[in-house]
Amino acid sequence: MKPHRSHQYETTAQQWGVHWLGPVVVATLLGAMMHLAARNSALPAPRPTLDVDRGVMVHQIEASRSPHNTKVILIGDSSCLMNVDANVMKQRTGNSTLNLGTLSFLNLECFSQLLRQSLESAATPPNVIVLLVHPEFVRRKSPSTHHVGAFKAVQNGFDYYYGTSPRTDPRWWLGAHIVENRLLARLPIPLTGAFREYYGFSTELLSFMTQHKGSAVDPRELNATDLRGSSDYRVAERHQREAKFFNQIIPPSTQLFIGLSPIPSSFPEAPFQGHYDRLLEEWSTLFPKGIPLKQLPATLDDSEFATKTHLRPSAVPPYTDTLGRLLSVE
Amino acid sequence: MYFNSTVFLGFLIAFLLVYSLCRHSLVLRNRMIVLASYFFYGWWDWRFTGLLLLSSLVDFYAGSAMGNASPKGKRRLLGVSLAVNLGALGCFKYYNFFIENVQQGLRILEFEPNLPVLQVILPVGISFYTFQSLSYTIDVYRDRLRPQRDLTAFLAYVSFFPQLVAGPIERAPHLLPQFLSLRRITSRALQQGTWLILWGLFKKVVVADNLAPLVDMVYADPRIEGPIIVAATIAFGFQIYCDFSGYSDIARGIAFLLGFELMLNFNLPYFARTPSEFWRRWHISLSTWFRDYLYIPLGGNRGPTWVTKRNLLITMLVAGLWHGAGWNFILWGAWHGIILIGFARYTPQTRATSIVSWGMTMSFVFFGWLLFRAQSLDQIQNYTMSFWYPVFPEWTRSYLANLGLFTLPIITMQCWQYWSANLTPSLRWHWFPRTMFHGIILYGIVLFWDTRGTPFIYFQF
Repeated sequence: MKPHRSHQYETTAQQWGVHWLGPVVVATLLGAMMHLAARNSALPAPRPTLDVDRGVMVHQIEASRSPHNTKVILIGDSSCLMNVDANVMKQRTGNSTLNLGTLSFLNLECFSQLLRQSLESAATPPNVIVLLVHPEFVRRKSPSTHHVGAFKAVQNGFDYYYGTSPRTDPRWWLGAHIVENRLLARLPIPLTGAFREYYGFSTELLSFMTQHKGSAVDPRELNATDLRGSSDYRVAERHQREAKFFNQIIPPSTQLFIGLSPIPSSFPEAPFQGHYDRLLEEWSTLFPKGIPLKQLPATLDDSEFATKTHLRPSAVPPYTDTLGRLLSVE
Repeated sequence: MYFNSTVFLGFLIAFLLVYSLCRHSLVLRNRMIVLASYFFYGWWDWRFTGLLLLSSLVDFYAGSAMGNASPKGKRRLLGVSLAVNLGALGCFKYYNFFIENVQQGLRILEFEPNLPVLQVILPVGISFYTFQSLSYTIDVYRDRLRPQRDLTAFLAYVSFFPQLVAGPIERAPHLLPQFLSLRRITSRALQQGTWLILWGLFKKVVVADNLAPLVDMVYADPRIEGPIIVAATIAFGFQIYCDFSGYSDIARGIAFLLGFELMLNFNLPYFARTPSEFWRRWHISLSTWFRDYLYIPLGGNRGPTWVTKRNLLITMLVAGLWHGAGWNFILWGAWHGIILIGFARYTPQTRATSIVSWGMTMSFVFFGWLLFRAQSLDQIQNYTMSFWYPVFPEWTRSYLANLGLFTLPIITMQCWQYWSANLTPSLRWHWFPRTMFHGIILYGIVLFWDTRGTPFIYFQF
């Protein structure tokens, strides 16, 4: 005979409270402690090297704050970071070189902050500053809020929440981002995809960049989807405002060069050299002190690329050599 | 809907609330469990709920019909149940593997066959629920169980969502009666359930998911050489243990909160001193299934020594194949068959021999994980030949730091469980330190929580 009742609770509400709410309360208290400790600087400063992008930002901010006596400073987006090897540049020009290239998701304001810090850390002003960006950066209508937010957070020593809505995320309330940014990120974090195969962990990426004076390489392989999109590049309006600050910090004794990185030769629908020249000219007008690097190649063969914007590691030394030669001539 | 996703958390809380409201009707409770379980299963792909229902209905009606059937009729009915369940399994899981191997074999004989390959995805958890459902008809056939007359209870037994997609593979005599009786949710069940859910999630979210990139890093590259292969294999051994036993713990924990009791599936397997002890501690529900429904019917250890050895080897080969349609799984099964045979008559007697035997067993078990995780026979060969080469990738230190950090909590807890001879040692504590400890575990889970959830390894089986 089946019993009528199906199940019965031989527990009290207090027991459910202790077992279920108890750990939640403890975790919440731990979260509160994390927020409090972060606010009172009782934890190490944020150093969110949790992925390639943030690792690059942290490295370059730290590099810009380190005392140096560099003669050539490279600043720009990830095409500057990945396409130019500062060590090769030094061999070519005989001048010590520092690469402060970061990401195209940032903006000229962030580049300016890095540059200003680096100039403040320099024993003497550099002879040359090269602003090297990709046409994709020039065209980008707005930077990535997340990347700019993370950059500013590292710059100013506060924790950035890398999600969409912190107020509705229990992880934010429990201070998970604080633990990640300040404690976990100090451990070697496995990178993802091709970067994991090439570098391994965040610590190896950062030490590679340190060894290469801020340069890195992109280990990916170009695929057909990378070459989708338009090659009709125009200078986005936002850069005009941001360029003003950039121009203000260039020391009078320093030469500023303006360059645009190449694109894969099969990407543009029409011959690209004319368009490239016009784009460089228009872009250079934002930097009155700047000398446009007109001899840099507008396109390179597809086989030289890891992505639409980055060269393969094997193509970096020749490209750096070209850039170094142009700087020597100018 | 993974256990470690926010969607499941919402589903579980909603279900527990509704469940608490309808405690006055057993029929209603079982219907609710069936509905929730089919909803849970259909979340992946609703089309496969049909397969689950078909498997359940065939076994239910085959079992019912066996009640009045002659021995010959019973055999036929069992044949129908076996054909449907193993047919579905073969079709979805093994057909393409079989065809590909036949094609390769024919190519060696210089034929150019063009055999049809099925474009199907593997229904999640099919190996688990077909075995669970099948065990019912086999038990009825053997007169160990009376046919079930309550279809809802039977559907609930096969589809019970906590253990539907990755076990434990329950047996009808243990679980089915629980759907027909009053279930009591005692304070002990509440304690056990809460702890198992917390600890299971910790094992999955904190340990397994953080070891996964370490394993992938090495195993993605078949050309890699040197002792890093050993480190990656150790990482995989802990990853698969924490992933799978984490799932089983959560399943058992949820069942406790519903008043049900599922069988223990893992009992500190890495403390096993012999391979046979390992199989008494690892995936217990599967190893006992194979023992009862394959090894013993084959003759078990009742015949001459060579027959016992043959039976062991066949059982382990089939157990390997159960895990996946790949030669590496078959090889893994064969390897375990061989080491079981090798250790068949050995029992360590002293402390020293126990330690040596434990070391050997673990070496064999972890070598087995290499076979299990490798993606090709070439990779197995390369790794086996080259793991002792003195080659160290630049990131070796970072790798070992991660491996040490994420295996430390599980090793510590396992030692505590082993030496206290209690799988839930913290439950003995006073409520205050226990709550603090559970709160820290919860904080660790939140810290590494990925709202979308990451798949459990055993879902693919």
